[in-house]
This record gives sequence, C-alpha cells and structure tokens, in this order.
Amino acid sequence: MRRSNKQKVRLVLWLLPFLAYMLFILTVGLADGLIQSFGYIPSLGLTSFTLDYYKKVFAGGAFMSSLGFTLWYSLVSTALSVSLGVLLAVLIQNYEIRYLKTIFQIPLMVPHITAALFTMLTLASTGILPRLLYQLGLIASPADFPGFHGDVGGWGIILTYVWKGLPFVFLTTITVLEKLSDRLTKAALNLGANRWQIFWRITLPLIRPGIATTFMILFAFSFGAYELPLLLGPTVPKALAVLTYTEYINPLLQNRPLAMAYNFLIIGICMGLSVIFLHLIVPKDKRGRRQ
Amino acid sequence: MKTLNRIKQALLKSIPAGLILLPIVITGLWSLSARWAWPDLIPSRFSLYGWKAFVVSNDAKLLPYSIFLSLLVTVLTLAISVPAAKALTYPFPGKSLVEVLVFLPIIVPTAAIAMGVHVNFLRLNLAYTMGGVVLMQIFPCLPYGIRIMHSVYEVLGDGWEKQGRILGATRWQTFMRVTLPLLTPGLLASFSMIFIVSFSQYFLTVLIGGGVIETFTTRMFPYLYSGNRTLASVYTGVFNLVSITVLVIVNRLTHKLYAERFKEFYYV
Repeated sequence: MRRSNKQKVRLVLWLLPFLAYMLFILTVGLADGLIQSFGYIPSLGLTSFTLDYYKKVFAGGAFMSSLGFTLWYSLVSTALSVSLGVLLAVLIQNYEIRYLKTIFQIPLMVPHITAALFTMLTLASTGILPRLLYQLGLIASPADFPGFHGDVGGWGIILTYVWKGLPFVFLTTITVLEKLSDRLTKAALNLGANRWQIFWRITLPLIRPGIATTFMILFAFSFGAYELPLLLGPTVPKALAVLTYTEYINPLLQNRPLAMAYNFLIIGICMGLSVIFLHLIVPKDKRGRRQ
Repeated sequence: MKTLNRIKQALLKSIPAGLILLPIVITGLWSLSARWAWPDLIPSRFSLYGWKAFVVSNDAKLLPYSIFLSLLVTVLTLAISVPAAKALTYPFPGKSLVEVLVFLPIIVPTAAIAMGVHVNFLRLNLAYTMGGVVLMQIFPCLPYGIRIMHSVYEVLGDGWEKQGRILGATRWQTFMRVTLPLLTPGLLASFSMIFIVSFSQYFLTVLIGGGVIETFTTRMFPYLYSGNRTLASVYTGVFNLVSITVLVIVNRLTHKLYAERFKEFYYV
C-alpha cells in the first residue's frame, strides 16, 4: 500500500518539533565548542586553528588520571548494578514481590544529589554504619572506618550509583522475565537441565538485549555526570566532568579551548564505549542485524 | 528444607528493601534532629528548627516558581514527544537515524553539551533567562517522553482510531473520544517521570541560569556540599515531598480515569 502525500506530510509535521529542537541544541552545543577546542575564539584574540590544546590534554597528567578514575567508578558501578540487579530479578522472580517492586521504584524517583546525601549520612566516617559497628564493638573510632565520602577509591560514588542503578536494572529485567513465557524453561527442565544451565542457556540470551541497553544507559550517565563526583568524590583525581567545569569557569579565558577539548574527548570516549558495549553484549541474529 | 526456603525468600526480599529504605529513614531522623553526636544511633535531641528555618527562608518562596518551571519543561517536552513518538510507529526513510537521535541525550554527556550551549546562549541572549533554562532542560527529558509514549503507541496500535472513523466519527470526535482516553495513562506516567527529571536538574540550571535563574534544587545543593546534615535533610525531605505529591496526584488521576494498565512505563 502506498502512502498518500497527505500522510507523508503529516509524518514530517509530527517529527518536525523534535528534529528542529535537536538540530538547534546540537548545533549550538557542539559546533562552536568544536571550533573553540581548536583554539579559534576571535573574541579572545585567538584566531588560528591549532591542535595544541589536544596535545596539552594528553601531555598534562590531570586529564589522564581523571579519565582513569572516571572509567573506574563508572565501569565498576555499572557492572555491579547490572550483575546484581539481574541476579536478584532471576532469584526472586517467582516470589510475591508486589511491595518490593513499589519500594524499588523509589530510587528511580530520587535524584542523584539526594542519593549522595543518603550515602553521606550512612556510609561516611560518622555515618550510621560506622556508628553501628562502634556499638557492636567492631571499631574504636570513626577513623577506623574507611568513610565512603571523598575516598580516593571512589567507593562512595560507586555505591551511590549502585543504589540508584540496581533497582532500575531489577525492574527492567523483572518486566521482561514476567513477559517471557515459561514454556522454554519447562521444556529444558523436562529434558534434564539444571537451574544454572537454564539461566545461562535460556534466560540470559533472552534478556541480553535489555541488559545491554541498561548497561549503556547507566555507564553513559555515570561517565558524564557532574553532581555525584562533585559531592562524593576526592579532590584529586577529579571526575572528568568536574575537571572540565573547573577549566571552563577558570577566570583565565585562555583556558576555554582546553575545557572544550576536554568536552569533545569526553563525548567521543563516552559514545565510542557505548557503541562498543552494545556490540559486545547484543548478539547478532542470522541476518547480521542486532536485536 | 521448606523452612530454609522460606528464610531464603524472606532474606532476598527484605535485605534489598531495607537497604533502600534505611537511608530514607536516617535522612528523616536527621531533618528532625537538634543534636546527634557520634556514636549515638538515634538523635539525643529532636527539634523542628531545620523545618522552621526552611519555611521562613527565601527558598520556600522559590518553591512555587521552581515547580512552575518544571511543569513548563514537562508540558513542552510532551508537546515535542507525543507527535514524534506517534511518527516513530510508522516506517519511513531515515527512521533509524531518528531513533539514534532519540537515544542521543542518554549516551552523550549532557554536561559536555551544555557548556557549548552556554557559550552560544550568551550570544543569543538566552543565558541567564528562564527561557534558556527551560530550553536546555528539555534535552535530558526528551528520551523519557518519547520512549514512554512510543511504547504506549506500540501497545495501542491505530486499530481503535480506524474503528472510530469507520463507525462515522469525525477526526475531532475520534481524537477526543478514542485517542485521548487511550493515551491518558501513558501521558500521565511520562508526565511524572519528566517532571522529576526536570526538577532534579542541578548542573544545567546552574550553568545556563548562572545564579540569575535559580530553582529549589540549585538552592539545595550548597547545603549538601557544606555538609550541614540537618538542613540538607530538610531540603531533601521537601524535594521528595514535592515529587511524591506530583506522583500521587498523577496516580490518582490515572486510577480515577483508568484501570492499572500502564505500570511498566514508569521507567525507560
């Protein structure tokens, strides 16, 4: 059936607001920044294109150590959220969990900065956990507890992202699991498969595309976000977003191209890794298309 | 064996629930504490001073403005999302490109884009204005709006609309009597999600608002940063009360209008 011209026009009109908005934001957000990152800002008297700022990024140690730190906490928190969330969903899928599902929606509604406060009040060196350990006689003073607030290992950031990410993975997975028919599982049981075999050979392949998407969403968010590492991260190394903003608001306007170079490296790395993860996790079907 | 299973089930359900609820209870206690020294497990003195301090502060007066700003972002995001989501249910050339665009705000760090936007908004006289902040906040909200509405359209299909037209309803009647009622639960679900995403924005508001346009969230941040535990807890409490109120109102409306059908669209 050929669509009439009228229908085509309607389709374009429906998409127009979205496309116009995205075009606007991406143009004003990326085009100028990219030019500035090559050192071209006429209003500041910088009028020649140069790769110096990108060279400077890799020459100085700040960017590389920030990159390492940011990769560390985003990968660890995402991996923990996804693996534990899926594990929990698979373990309790057959129980009555209506209330648990309602409770698990709370972290989705709570913003990251609130979650950061939760971590400060529970896991920092005078939080409720070290207090509990003290009352139990396990530690003698706050100093004995590795406070997860500003720690160089980034564990405060990691645990906060897991607090928010795990329920997201759990709810997405449980929704998929509930929709799956149990015919395959029953057939496998009949044929003598054990629970692990059923998980690895049947359940996991079926929920893999969903897992890949949640993995990407969580990773990309934690990699680029500013708030949590600012509140919970150590002073050195800074998270990439924090480092970039520090350069951006530097009163020395000559640092502006450097901040923009940071930004483009962050965007590039984040998108590149997201695509790689998607390819690694989502298997191709017979025609070579991803599900 | 049966008891063992029951213990396992109880643990698997209560430990995650406890880990989610505990920090919320602790924050509630902090917001009411006047003195809570190491190593006490509960405050030694309770008081309402934090809440009183908030109620008389300028930040309380900022709350309606802040809610209004987020409502504006929500309505605009929905206005862009609903037709786009509808279009995405049909095949058309370049569809996969549009789908990538929908996903873009999720995988491109918003903070990085916002700095580029800020430079240009200064030039366009949009920086430090409410319009600029609203325009920027739509960006992280769009994927939620489009993806939720898209799944709603996918579930509905256009059979009902066609049925209406066949039975002789006009385009307007079909929209009012068929399309809108069917869409409402999904609309309300994405409404509350987008509202919360917008209301939570800190970095974008600070950058584009530049201290001229402030929201409740940007006022809340310094208390978290400085580590004033009582006031930070009060502000967090207020924040969550606002979110919960919006959710409850929206949920009530949904339940009033329709049965529990679109639960799974709360999250993208």
